[in-house]
Amino acid sequence: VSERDPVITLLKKLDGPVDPRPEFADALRSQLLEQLAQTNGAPARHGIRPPHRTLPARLRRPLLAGAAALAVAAIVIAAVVVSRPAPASALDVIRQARAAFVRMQPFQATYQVALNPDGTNPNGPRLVPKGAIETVMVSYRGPGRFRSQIMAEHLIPLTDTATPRPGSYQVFNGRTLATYNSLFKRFSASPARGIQTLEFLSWHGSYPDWERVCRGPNSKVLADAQIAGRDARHIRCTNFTGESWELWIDRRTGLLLKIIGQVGGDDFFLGGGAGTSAKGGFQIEELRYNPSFAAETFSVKAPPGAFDIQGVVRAELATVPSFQAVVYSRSTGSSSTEEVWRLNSHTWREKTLAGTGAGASGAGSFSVSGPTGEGSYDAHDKTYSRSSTADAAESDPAQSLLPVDTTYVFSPAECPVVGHDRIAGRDAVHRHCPARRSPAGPPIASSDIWADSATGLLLKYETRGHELRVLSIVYRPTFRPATFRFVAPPGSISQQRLNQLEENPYYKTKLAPGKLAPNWQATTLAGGRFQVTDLRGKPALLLFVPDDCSDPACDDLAALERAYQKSNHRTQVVWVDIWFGEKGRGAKKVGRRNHLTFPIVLDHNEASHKAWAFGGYPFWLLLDSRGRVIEARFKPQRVAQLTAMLAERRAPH
Amino acid sequence: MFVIAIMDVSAPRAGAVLGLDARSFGAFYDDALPRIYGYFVHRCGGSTAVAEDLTQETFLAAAAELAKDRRVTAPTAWIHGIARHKLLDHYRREKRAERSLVAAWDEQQLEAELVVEDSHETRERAMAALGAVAASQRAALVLCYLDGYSVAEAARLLGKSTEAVESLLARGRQSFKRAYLEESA
Repeated sequence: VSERDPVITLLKKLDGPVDPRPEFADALRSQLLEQLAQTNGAPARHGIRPPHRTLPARLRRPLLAGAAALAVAAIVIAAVVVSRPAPASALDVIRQARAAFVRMQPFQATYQVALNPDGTNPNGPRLVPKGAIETVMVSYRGPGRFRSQIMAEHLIPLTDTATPRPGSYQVFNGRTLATYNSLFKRFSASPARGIQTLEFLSWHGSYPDWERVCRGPNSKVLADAQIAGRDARHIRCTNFTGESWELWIDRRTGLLLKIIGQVGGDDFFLGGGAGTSAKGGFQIEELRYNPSFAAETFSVKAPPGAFDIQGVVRAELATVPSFQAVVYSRSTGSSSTEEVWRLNSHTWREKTLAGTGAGASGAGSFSVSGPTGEGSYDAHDKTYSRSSTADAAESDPAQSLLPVDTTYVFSPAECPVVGHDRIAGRDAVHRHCPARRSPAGPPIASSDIWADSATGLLLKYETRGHELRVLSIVYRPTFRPATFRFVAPPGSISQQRLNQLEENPYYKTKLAPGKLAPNWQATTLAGGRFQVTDLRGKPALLLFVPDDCSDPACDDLAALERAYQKSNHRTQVVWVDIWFGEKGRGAKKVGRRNHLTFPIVLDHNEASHKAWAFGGYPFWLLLDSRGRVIEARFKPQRVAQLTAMLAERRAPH
Repeated sequence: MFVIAIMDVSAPRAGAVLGLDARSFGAFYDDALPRIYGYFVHRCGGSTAVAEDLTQETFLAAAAELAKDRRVTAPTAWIHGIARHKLLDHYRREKRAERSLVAAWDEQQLEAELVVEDSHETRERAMAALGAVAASQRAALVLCYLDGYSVAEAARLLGKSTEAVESLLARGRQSFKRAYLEESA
């Protein structure tokens, strides 16, 4: 790569010193010198004492109040730090397993998954009856080759068409992800570059988050064991809310051999929501490292006799002539009107003329795919994003006008012609598909379709809860040259820029440093009334986080409580539970388990969000004794970060 | 003081070459701070919050080392070494978070040419563009093109093969170019 390469030239510009904020520089300097002074046994501030300044009388009281607030809050945070438990050795086992898995050799494993041994599966007994078991074979040949196939099942009901039956599989070859449904013999394949295979087994799944769970105070390493003929590390991880998992991990390879605890089924292709109960889990029955895989193991071609949905859709789309159309569609809870300009699967433009409901885009939003790439604009928040054209065909707006992707419903044999109509100036063939039974799940409702007699495209479609109508359509129009070029509207910002702006915890909020925090009211877990103005008189640290403890901020609640006690309540601490169910049962559980004595506020009506409009959680807010904002932060805060926040605020005083 | 509590400072010791007295460390700090802060702010998409956190971590680690009688003969290189480790740790954390977001950027060759001007705006765009590149690719770009490491050295630092780093560089260049063009749009 040449040094004259513009990318390198640009990158080279990114060097050189930058002055940080003076407050930050001063606070860090003080902190470091204190540390060094401690280690030397010398006074900290010799030689760097800032010039003595006299405050104007009118500023003294508020500044002193702020300083006092910070000092007290600092003590609270200090106690949090001191009382934070040391990393559990169970966490070390997890980290070793994750590191080992990076070098995982090819393997084939048959897992038996116990979905609901105790009848407490959160999906309920209708979907997952007590005693339900799936047997799944996982074949793995590096990050780009993966297959998961249902081998057998026990007590799995036929509740919906999406539940994979024995013989169904999912396969990934590094570029394409394919699934086969053995019940309907349906096959589907689509590009899926960059996906993480075996996310859970490679220790990168989002749930459970082992880094958090195994840091819990009661996590421990248990005696080693033998599972499927392999030496296994045995650990128990218990999180801060008392949920527990027991794991057996191959000592040499880091492969999870057995687990008892609630897990999802993603790696095992068990279908939507088919996780296990807390007493469930899985265990390897048979394991072979470096096996000889059958030739078709990682093939993403449709098996003989399978109906290849994507293949049929692609073939149909290739025959659709260019068109310009206005299409109205309605689905339960939302409706929209879109204008579509389409040259082919890779070259199209779609604009929302009107939209209502949660699922609809706002009027003025548009997406474009063309020779210069793909871009989309969201009129709601005035942001745009661009991407490669790799998946443009997947979003081809003509797909919604094909009666093909739901061929199962629109089978010509089952949907006889019942008439002819004129729709949007075109001759339309009207077919009626009567209601019928489904081999799985509820009966399929009756539907009516009107297809263009010349092109076969849908002009109208009606069934229970859904409607589609072409309001106008012109075939083979003349497109303006700029039609398929994405140009961001004036005043819009890129999604990346928005992400940067949202890094600022005050962005779009009604809070500002030094300003009074607007009041709001809610109820406490104990049943009392809470309002922000009640906090005046003492500094207060408020944490906004949901009670499901899906956020790492929840892990520090016990330490925060100890700090609260240690500070003799000089700083008020309040946990505002912003997302809860069943009368705050989660908050109650977390509070009891962590022996929380500071107030837990249940914000039933999103009063805090409405009053302050903060954009994410966990959200931290430090108020002084007069109810003015000292500093806001969101996202999980490490203690060092909070320390820096407090230190830098304290320095000028 | 709570500030001390988080340092995990062992028993007081004295005597690192850099000078543990407050005055000489203060001078070193004044000189090194803009360099270290600039190092991070440029490599973290211009995020001052991240740059401040990493700067703080770097200097705290440096101070902790000094407290262990660490003899430092080349303080500037030494603290840059600590900063680099902090940065790579940060990228690794980011990489974990964005794992599922590494979308279809790879292997798409861009035809548009970058126009490099010597302006503040260009630097801002480049900084934002680098911040938009996936963490693993960004680590490779920073080590090889900004910090001047060879591919083999970068591979060792990142715990990857040289082929993997070359691949990261190729994809990172494309991602950077694309993000930069977006910023310019």
